[in-house]
Amino acid sequence: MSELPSNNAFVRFVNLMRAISVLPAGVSLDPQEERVMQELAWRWGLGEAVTVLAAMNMMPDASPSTVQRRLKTLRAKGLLSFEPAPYDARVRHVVVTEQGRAYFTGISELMHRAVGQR
Amino acid sequence: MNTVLVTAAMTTVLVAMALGNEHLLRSTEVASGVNWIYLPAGLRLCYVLVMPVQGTLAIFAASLIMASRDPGLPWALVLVSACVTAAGPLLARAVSMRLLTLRPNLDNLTSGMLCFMAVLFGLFSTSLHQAFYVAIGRDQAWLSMWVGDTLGCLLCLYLLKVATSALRRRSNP
Repeated sequence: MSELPSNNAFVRFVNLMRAISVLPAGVSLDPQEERVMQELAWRWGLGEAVTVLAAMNMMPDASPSTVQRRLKTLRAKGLLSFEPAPYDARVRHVVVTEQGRAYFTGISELMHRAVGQR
Repeated sequence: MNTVLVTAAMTTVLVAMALGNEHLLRSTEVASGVNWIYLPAGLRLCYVLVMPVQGTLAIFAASLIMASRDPGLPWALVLVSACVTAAGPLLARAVSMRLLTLRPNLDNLTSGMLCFMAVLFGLFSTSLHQAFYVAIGRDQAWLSMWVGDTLGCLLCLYLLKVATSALRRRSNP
């Protein structure tokens, strides 16, 4: 089987377009941040108020410090905020922001579309 | 023959884009040929990345056409100006490939590298142009030219991203 030569303009074009198509646009999450958001969505869906401490221990296969770092990056990206609990100011809850809601709405729409295509 | 046709087509697109930029973004013009947003810069970067030889020739030819419209510039200087314009992207490409260890077929090119290249491209292109302007005693506008080239480059890449994703959505709704 013959391979395309490395100096092939078409190969370079395809590689350039691939790089262009993944240019950062708005908020992009890494896989671990996505998982943290999914875990939080599940708990929020059950009506749980998730504290930062509980969130740090919610993923058995990830260390609490890793989850804490991801919580901080998600907060920096504007998807989450930490708010003091009404009963104890030392306890902080992980709360979804408007941007976070928009993130879940976007995923929900994509799922609806995917199901509709079947 | 193929190379000539491809180069001619690339030159036409580049000239059309430069004229479009000149008319549509007239309000961002700082001096003759210097804009706060210069979209053809992005196309120049894509040209030298995909087809270095034809791309450089097209940039040279397009610059020749655009510079020849300046009545205050003698032919010899038009030629030098075109050489300077063509050298910038090529130099940026060579340096980026070395710094980023980019392979010739661009298979390890990432979006981050593209953004870096846009900044580097603006830097080289502007520095060469400004050196030329100093040599011929023209007004300098280093900052606006660098911002214009870098911003134009990034905007052009994002326009391509939007256009390709729109095309993809249209073909696969």
